[in-house]
Parts: sequence; C-alpha cells; structure tokens
Amino acid sequence: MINEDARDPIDGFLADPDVSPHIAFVRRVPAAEASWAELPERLDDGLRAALRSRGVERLYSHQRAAWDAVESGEDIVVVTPTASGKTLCYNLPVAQALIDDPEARALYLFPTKALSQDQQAELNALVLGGDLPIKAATYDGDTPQSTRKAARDSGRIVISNPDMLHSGILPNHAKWIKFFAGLRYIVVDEMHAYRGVFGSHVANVFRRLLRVAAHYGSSPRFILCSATIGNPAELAAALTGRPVVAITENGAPRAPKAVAFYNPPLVDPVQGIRRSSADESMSLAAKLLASGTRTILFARSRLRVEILASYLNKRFENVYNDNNRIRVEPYRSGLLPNERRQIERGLRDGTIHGVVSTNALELGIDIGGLDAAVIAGWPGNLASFWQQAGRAGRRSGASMAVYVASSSPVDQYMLEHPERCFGAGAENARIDPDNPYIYADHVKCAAFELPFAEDERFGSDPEAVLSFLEEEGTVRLAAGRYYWSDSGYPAEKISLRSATADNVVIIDTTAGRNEVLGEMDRPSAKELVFDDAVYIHRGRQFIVLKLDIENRQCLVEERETNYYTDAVVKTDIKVLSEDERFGPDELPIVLGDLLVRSSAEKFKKLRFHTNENVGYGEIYLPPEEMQTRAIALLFPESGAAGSALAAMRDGERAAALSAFCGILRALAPVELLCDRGDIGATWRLRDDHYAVPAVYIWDRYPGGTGLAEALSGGLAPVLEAAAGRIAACDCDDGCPSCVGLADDSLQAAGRRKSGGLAIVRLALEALAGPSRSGD
Amino acid sequence: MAGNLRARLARIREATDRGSRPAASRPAPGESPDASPVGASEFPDDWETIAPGLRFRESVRRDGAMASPRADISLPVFSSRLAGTVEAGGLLFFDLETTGLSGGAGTVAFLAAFGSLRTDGSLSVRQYFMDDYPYERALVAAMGDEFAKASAVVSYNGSSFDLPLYAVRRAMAGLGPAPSQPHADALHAARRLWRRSMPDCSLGCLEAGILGVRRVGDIPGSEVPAVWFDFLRSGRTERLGRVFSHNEQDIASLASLAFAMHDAARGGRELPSADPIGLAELRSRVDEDLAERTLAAALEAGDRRATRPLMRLYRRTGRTDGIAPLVPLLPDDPAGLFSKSVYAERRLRDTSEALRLAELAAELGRGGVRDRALKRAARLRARQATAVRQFPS
Repeated sequence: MINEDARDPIDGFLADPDVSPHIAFVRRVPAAEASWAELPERLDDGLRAALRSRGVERLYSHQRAAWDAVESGEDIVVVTPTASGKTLCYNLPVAQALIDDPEARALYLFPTKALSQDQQAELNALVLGGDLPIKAATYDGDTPQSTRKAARDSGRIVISNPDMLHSGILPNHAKWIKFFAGLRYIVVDEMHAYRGVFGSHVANVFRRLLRVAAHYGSSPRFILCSATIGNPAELAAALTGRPVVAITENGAPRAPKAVAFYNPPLVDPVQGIRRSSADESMSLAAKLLASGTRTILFARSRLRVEILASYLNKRFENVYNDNNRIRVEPYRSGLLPNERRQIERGLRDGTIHGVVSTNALELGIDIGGLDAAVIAGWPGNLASFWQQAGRAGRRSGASMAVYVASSSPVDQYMLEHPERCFGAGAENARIDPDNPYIYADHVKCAAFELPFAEDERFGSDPEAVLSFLEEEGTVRLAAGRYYWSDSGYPAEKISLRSATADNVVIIDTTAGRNEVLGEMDRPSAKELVFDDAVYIHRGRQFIVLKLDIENRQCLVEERETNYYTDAVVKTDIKVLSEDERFGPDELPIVLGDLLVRSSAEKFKKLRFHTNENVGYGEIYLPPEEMQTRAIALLFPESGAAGSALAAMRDGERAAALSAFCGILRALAPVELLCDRGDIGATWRLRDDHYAVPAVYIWDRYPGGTGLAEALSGGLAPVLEAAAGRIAACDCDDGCPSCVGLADDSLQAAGRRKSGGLAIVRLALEALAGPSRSGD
Repeated sequence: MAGNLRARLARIREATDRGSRPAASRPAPGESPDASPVGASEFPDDWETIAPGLRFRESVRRDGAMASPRADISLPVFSSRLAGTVEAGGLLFFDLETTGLSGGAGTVAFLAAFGSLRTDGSLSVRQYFMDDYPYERALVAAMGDEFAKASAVVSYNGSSFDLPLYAVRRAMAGLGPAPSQPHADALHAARRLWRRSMPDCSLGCLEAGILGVRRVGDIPGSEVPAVWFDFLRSGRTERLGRVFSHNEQDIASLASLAFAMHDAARGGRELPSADPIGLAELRSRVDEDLAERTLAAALEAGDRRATRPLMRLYRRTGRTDGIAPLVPLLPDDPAGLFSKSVYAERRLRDTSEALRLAELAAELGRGGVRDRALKRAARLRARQATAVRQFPS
C-alpha cells in the first residue's frame, strides 16, 4: 500500500482537477550532489575505523569545515538543513578530544528528551564501531537514581537537556567536580529552538554553566547546530555571550522535492472569505493518504490537531475494510511521553500512515520517511516552514510539501511573495536574556550555586538583582559576598518554558476514574480549559467539570458533543514607563513597559465542521495581569498621518485606526521570528496616557523577549508589506486577508480599507524622513 | 538598558508586594558580621569561641539507657552491608541542622552535633556552630576532625541527607573527599522494627512512642532555618537556644535508640511494638539460632509472615528437609498460594486442590507470578482431563 517512489503521486496530485485550479505556485527543488572533503590527517585510527564501519570514508565539506574551525579554538554554529550529517560535525571533534585527553569531558544538550535519546543511540553506534574509550551517558528526568552516580562519575559525554541542566545538574555541581573540571565542549543542537522566552532562559542557564565551569578551572568551547534562520551567528552570540563563527555552506546531497502553494478558493469575494485552510488541507491529506502516500499534516494549534485527526479518521472509517487500513494519529505536546513514543515508533515501522501534528514534530526526532507534508496555514516563520516541509522525504526519493494558505494577511502575503520562501531572507531570531523576570530568576539560581562576589560580572547588572534580593532576605551580604540565605531551592520553581512554573494537570474523572490525561500551562488553561469547555485529547472529547486554578487541577469528564469551544479574550492596557523614543516627531515610537490585563469572560460554542456559532457560555476566572515591553506608535496632529486621522469623520477615524492596527499585528510576525500569538496589539482613538491616537504592540511574554525592541527598529519593512497586501487585496472594504474583520459599527462606517491604507502610507513616508518629500 | 533594570525590578516588586509584608520586618541590608545590630542578644554562655566565627560547647547526658563503652557493637545489625564489630565507645553519633532540605550547593549546615560514650558510660554531646557564612570552612574542618576519631559513624537518615550534604560542603570549601569509614544509618533498622506499628519512623515519633521521651518547648524542624536567618540578620539568640536543645536531644535519642535496637537484636531487652519478623531479620545477621527461635515463636503465635524467612533460614543453614512441611503455613498471598499449589500436587497428590489454588493465585496475582500461575493451572487442567479420559464413566 505504501509507495516507495512518491513521484507519480506528486504529478497525479498536482494534476488532479480538484487541486490544480488552486495551486498558486510550484517550485521543484532539484537534487544536489554532495561536496566532499578528506578525513582530517590527525584523526585517531580508532575513529577512522569506526567511521569506516559505518560506511563513511570522506566528509561533507561542512563537516570538514566544522572540524577545522573547532581545531583552531573557535566557537562555532553549523547552519545546515536536517539530514545533512550535522551530528558528525560535533561527534568527530569531541571524540578526538576525548581520546587525546583522558580527563576531558563533553556536554551534549538537546531541547527535548526524545532527541537526546536518539542521539545516545547514534553516539553509541559510533563509539562501539571503533571500540573507543568514550562512555556516553544520558542524564535527564528519566534517568533512574541507580545510574545517576555512574553517569556523573564516569560519563565522558553527558547527554542532557537545558531543563535538567538548570534544575538537576547546576544546583548540584559539587557532585560533578570531575566533569566540570574536565569540560572541553558544550554541544547545543537545534539552536533555533532557543528563541523567545525559552531562548532567553537558556542564555541565562549558559551563563550559570560557564560560571560553574570557571569555578572549577575550565573554559569549554561551544559547538552549536541550527536550522536556517536569518541571524544564526547573532543568536549564537546572544545565547553564549561570546562571538561565534557560522558555517553555512551545506555539502550534503539532496533528493528532489516539489513545493506547492495552494490557495483555497474564495467563497465570498466581497467579504474576502475563503474555504477554511484547515478543511482544505484535510481534504488534500485525505487524497494523498488514499493514494498510498504517507503524509504528515501540520496544524496550527493543539485543538486543531485533534479536530483534524478525528475528521480524517472518520473519513476513512469503514467497518468492511478495516478503515481502508489507513491509520492517522494526532501528535501534540500535551500528550504524555509514552503516547508520543508510541506514535513515533508507529511512524518508523509503518503501522501509522498519517500524522496530524503541531510544530512539536518540527524538531529532529527520527520518524523515518514520509512522502508528503501538508502545511495548514503559515507556521509563523521560514525556519519552521522548512522544518515542516523537510519532514517529507527525509531518507531519499522525491517528495512533496504542500502549503495551504489560510485567509490571514500573512498567508496571503506569502502566497503573493513565494520568493520569500526560497530566497535568503529568513527571519531573525530574538532573545532577551536581560528580561528582568527571567534574569532575576537566574541570578537567584546562580547565587544558590556559588556565592556572588560583590564586583562579579554576570549578565547585565547582577548587583541590581542582588541588592533587591538582599532586601527581601533571600541572599545575605557577608564579607564581600552574597550568600543564598533562604530555605528553598530556586531552580525547582523556575520553568524554562513558560511564564510560570505551574502547569495545570488535566484529570479524567469519568465514572470514578482518576487518570492524568495531560498538562497545560496556567495562562493557557484559563483560555482553553475553563469550566464547561470542550477539551479534546487524542480524539476523545471531554467536558471540563471544574478548573481549579489554585490547586492547579482541571477535572474533566468524557462526553460526546457536536461542538467545540473558543474563548473570547478581552485586553486592557496601562502605560508604566517611557524608556526610549524612536522615529520622527511626526510619528513617535515609544518603547517602554506596559501593564496588560487579559480576561476571558465568555466563550463561543462552535459546531464541528460548519463552525457555526451555536451558543455562548460564561467564564468566571480572574484576569491575567502582566507587565511587559511594548511600543506605542503615536499620531500627533503635527504629522501627516495624525492630521489625516484628525480630518476624518469620527466613525471613519476609528475604522481606519483599527484597520491599521489589524494589519500591523498580522504582518509584524513575518519580520520578527515569532508566532502570531507572541504579540498583542490594540488601538486608542484618544490614548489616556499620550492624549493622541495611538497603536500599541506588546510582547505577550512577561518582561518581554526582545520583540518590542526589534519592532521599534524594524517598523518600516512591516509597513511596506502592509501597504502591498492591502493594495493587492481583492476585497471590497477589508477582509481577514488584509486589515481583518471588524464589528458591525466599524464596518458600517465604511472606508476601513482605504483609510487603513492611507495611514499606512503616510506612516511609511514619515519614517522615511523629510528628504522624501518629493522635490 | 541596565539602568532601566533597577526601575523595572522596583515596579515588579511593587506590583507583587502590595502591602503583604509590613515594613518593620524587613531586615537592614548589607550588615557585616562585626557590626552589632539593634536587638542582638548575648550568646548563651556555655558556648566558647574556638576559632573566628566558630563556637563550641559540650554537654554530658546521663539520662537514657546507653551501653558500656567497652561493649562490642555488631555493625551488621544496622545494615547487611556492614561487617565486623567495634567498641561502643568508638561509635560517633551525628546530626546536622541545615538551611534547607535540598542537597544542592546552596544548602549549608550551620550546626553540627556529635555524640559518643565517655568512659563512665555517660554520653558526651559536642556541638559546633558557625556565626555566619564566611566561617563555614572552619566548621567543616572541625567536623572532619570529629569523624577522623571515630571507628564507625551512626546517623538517622544520614545516608540520604546528612552525609551527602557533608560531602558537598567539603567540596565547596575546597577540601577533598572525606576518607571513607563504616556508616550505620539507624533508620533502616528502625523501619524493619516499627514500619508496621508506628504512624511513621521519624526520630521524633519513635522517640516519643518507644523511648518515652517528652520534649518541652521544642522547636519544629521546619522552623529551624528561619531561626538561623533571623540570628544572622538581627543577632537575636533566644530561639537559637531552642535549636541547640533540639539538636542535642536528637543526638541523645539517636544514641538511645541505636543501643536499644542493637541490644534487642542481640537477644537482650524487648522492644515495645517491634515487629517480630523485622527483629528476626536483624537477629539473623548476628545470630541465626536466635533468629530461628524468634521466627518459630512468631509462627507459633499465628503470624504467617514468619514462614518464608524461616524457610530461607533453613536453606541458609543447610536444613532443607525442614522447608517442605512449612509450606501449608505460608500466607494466602499469590506467591504463597502458588507454592501451596505445588505442594498439593506433589506431596498431597491432590490435583483438584492444586488447581483451585493455582487459579486463585492467578486471579489475585500480577506480572510474573500471574503468568506462572496461569501456566500451572492450564497444565493441571490438562492433567485432570487425561485422568478423566482414562477412567471414562
């Protein structure tokens, strides 16, 4: 049933009369030959033998370049796509160093446990092949107590993840003395995953790691590997705190691939409404699966994954032929670890034919070869797009990726500018290691690990945090050092992955059961699993009986419903500070702290399949409040944009400003490397604080992760993209694909689209400066 | 940007700290140990300063039944991994008071207590206290000196907590690893004896329930770190005195308990509420005959948990004939039912009884026992069927 050569299905699929009219673009990426280099002279004979036993007699050019750079003492980041032999870029130099010096050690970090377990298998294969005296040991949350001591004492390569490093290894560094004293290399794979809040935390964990290593007298070097992003060297430098050399030329061979862009047909041209990308991608995936093509369908949210997987399985449901022997599984991060392992195994051994996933499967977990990837909606950034597209054809043989656009402005923009996907203009990853919440948390952890000397350097300003902590009594200053003086253990309460450490546990209480189904971070829980919400887990539907935030528990009961739920979230803001001003006087851009209050007060009930609204419900939960970084874009009357707004009639002014805000919010993620959900936006006709019309864009992570800062400097490209999108949009007066939908009163005022476009153009002119006045 | 950090931290603090703590309780920042803060009180005068920032006192306890310092103590009583005997006077009892429960690098011990028998049979309790963090090295070195004088070290839960913590503190102070020496963690023996009869095997619980010790005005363990932090900030010592007494009593009770358990294991005094099976286990490490008598007596009194240990004892001492007759006395748990099924089949030649027992074992059992019981039942059923076929009705 599964074809080895997916080429026929590709051509057949693209020619299918249901499909071909909506294909906006096809690019065939040709195969590429390998670019070879010799094995290094000085490579140990045992290593050479190990490589030979795995069929490796030469290296790809980038693997040799990595070796050379590491030999000359550089910190490096290797930037090549998946399946390009990245692991040899680090395994070779590390293995050699460990052979040269019996005291040398190395630390390998992967973002997830699944990845690290894969890597241990790979390392063991290399090591055993050459009978090398290199013992690799995994040390993470799953490692049983009985093997931990052996890993600490004799593991020459310790394989772990940043979370374990943060809460398990660093706070207990006195049990790792030999390891830290001999630490030569820190290998960081999937570096692009360390952006945003996670990356900001990890940068601080690296600060602590280097501090502890220095305490034991070692100065290790970094070897990082990353997927393609716009600024790998910059991100690597921000993460490690030092300059890093980027190796970007890929010497590995590539199999041919077809990339198709599909635009769902318009259902209502006036309102610009298209058939839903989720439904369309589901149909496409079903077509592919029916023709025997193993397919992965990437969806944008956990909820969507569950819905799409169950739609697909229902499609193939047929008692007479065992569901056409096609099995589709949903895969998302709320699943328990053993459930995820089951699905990964099924994909590798072919018992599972299709998978619907969030970006959880983006990372390098080995799931064997899939023949086609269907990407429902723009995943937010190029790196994710290529990671997802790269899931098809991992081994060899032609494969296909189909991107199905949604009606959102970003998606339509990408369809109009496909060259963005294939050109060099990938987005830049941002982190903010000095976010005050994150930084302060890690200063605490560092103080627990080693007392701070008064003039010690650690990040931007440890003294600020330490004197703060000292007033609280958490640390004590004695004889020129700050000592940890609290009975707690700080790393325990700090999660590297969310705003707060507390996750809400979801418990199935149907018929007296008491089973843990999954977990969710607290802020998301308030918006997804409030009382009476419909919660879907691996295709099963549950109703939330009670969300008990205080005890971090959510009790659910299994129940079939014909609708799902979607919360309506309201936000309120207050300016806390004005820290910097950019831009001209006619259009000031103010960067500062903002207080944002979000509350979900009601929710919609939406019928499955048709998405029609079948009711509302109330949510009784306290609002979430957070302090974060934001920019405020101001429109004083002294500027052209401001005076244009002032000249409009009241209703039109609100319509234009809301349209401006809508498209800015929709397209900003294209320039920043973030998801739509990472930023929030709102507009004010007469702002409380600035007394002029204003548009705010904030970072949705408390304290900010560098997005507001990035936007303050990069507003012009976003406005250009906005102008282009609105001008190219076929709708009458605004639609989800350009300035967004608005409520009836704004819609009635008319001229949303033209008003919004006018403001965008005037703003662009103002930013370009007085020299652009045209004479 | 850095300057903004302070402002932003202050704003964050205001937001999270809305009137939750009264200003008066906030400690004065940045005090050096030499300044004399307001509210400081005198340190109790039975302490002497033996090094900068390190204080010491010795108390002598004559309460509680101890042992003669010349008596032989069999270490295996406390753990099957220990061997040999030492003189009672060579035992060092020890306990630490720390700033927290995690074993990480930021948890320190600020008070260490050591107990040992004096020649007249009384218990000397020596305590070392550090005035502040900068003096920790002296404390750790003093601890090392105490350990060096002992033939064996005794603790309560020290294998999980106190000793690993001591190792970390040595490493943090730049001292090498401690030389290894026999360590008896009395918690393990205590659990064997009282796990079934006491709500928990904490030292406090056993001290009250078994030794009959009543503490007056004791400070709960959870409050100890706060007392030291308060002393550091304010110099106040009243509650510190209660911590010292608490720590001293911990040593005294540990010693009493350890000697009492050892004595009982050697056939001496009885212990209230002690599980005879657990006691037999301790006894088997020093005297198999005594252990056998203990198990036999328990079995006689109707305690079927004694059967298996007794069977193992017979096997160890080469009296394998005695094992089979004990089978009917096994408890009715899955493994016991399985053994009884085998016995019924082979000794009693009662296939239907054997089958009944095997099926019951399969029903109640899980995992490996269940699998074996199922196979056994299947085999027995097949046997029954052929037996019937041979004698058609």
